[in-house]
Amino acid sequence: MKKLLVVLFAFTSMASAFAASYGKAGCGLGSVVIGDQPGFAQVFAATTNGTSGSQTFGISSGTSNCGSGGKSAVMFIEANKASLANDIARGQGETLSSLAKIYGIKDASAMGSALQKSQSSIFATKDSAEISASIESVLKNNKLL
Amino acid sequence: MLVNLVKKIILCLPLFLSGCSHYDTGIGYKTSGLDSDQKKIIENDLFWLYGLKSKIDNALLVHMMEDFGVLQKEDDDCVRGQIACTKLFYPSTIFLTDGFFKMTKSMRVSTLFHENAHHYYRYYYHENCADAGQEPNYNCDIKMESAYGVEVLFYQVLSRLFPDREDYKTELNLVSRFLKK
Repeated sequence: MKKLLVVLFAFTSMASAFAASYGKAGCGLGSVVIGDQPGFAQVFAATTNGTSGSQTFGISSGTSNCGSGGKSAVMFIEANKASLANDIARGQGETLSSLAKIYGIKDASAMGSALQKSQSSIFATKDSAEISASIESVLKNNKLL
Repeated sequence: MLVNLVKKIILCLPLFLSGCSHYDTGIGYKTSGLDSDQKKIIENDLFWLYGLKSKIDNALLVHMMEDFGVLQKEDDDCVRGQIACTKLFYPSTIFLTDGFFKMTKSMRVSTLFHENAHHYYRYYYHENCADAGQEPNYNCDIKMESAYGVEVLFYQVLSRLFPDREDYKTELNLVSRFLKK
């Protein structure tokens, strides 16, 4: 029994070590074993992860960017720059609420207040990527992200 | 007119429960969880794309528009900071957030190409832009055979078809920044 416990402990420790070291290409044991090869290898990586359960968590919880490719919110900012600037100046509005949802922020009002205070520095540029970076920086500084 | 309507009903009947589609026009998609306004937006966008189809001289884009799969409303808003996404375990679904529907028509369609490219290449990741010599905190791709690569292709076609549209050029420039070859 003791031996079994030691083996189990060693196995789980090893799995945790692998899982903790996942890289840019994904998460969980499978992605470490397989690497970031596209196509069939990735499907196999998903299967491997499926057995450990770690990737299932990553995907269903949406917390770890595991196995998910997406379009950056920068384009949303580009498409809604004028109305977003107005909303940030007022500290509220529909566009601001949408952006809060994109960033997964529940308290849109707190987000509005935080961004309102930094409005002039956020819109010191017309570049959407830079605006997005400023917004994220303000949100992080206010512990909203 | 009546014949077309009957044809459409017959074609859509098997798909009625999961949301009607437009496979009969050569631009395939189904919808799931979208409200009527959102469905209308998608329908109009893809009708616009259908109008461009014969002028699009890129075989990959034409192939991709044949089936966008299931366009599904995403309540969890994908991963933080994304307006639309695909997921490894859902190989024919494109998840759309509320933010998606607040973008311009060209941006929405380009996003569908972007997400469909994740399925096409079976690659559900991006690289960190900082690793690719770009600004930090954003996702980039590092080759044309990628989501942002396909998006750039689409905007290149749009810019060729509509040389006077400054907004398409602006969008092409912006999207190109996320492609670091």
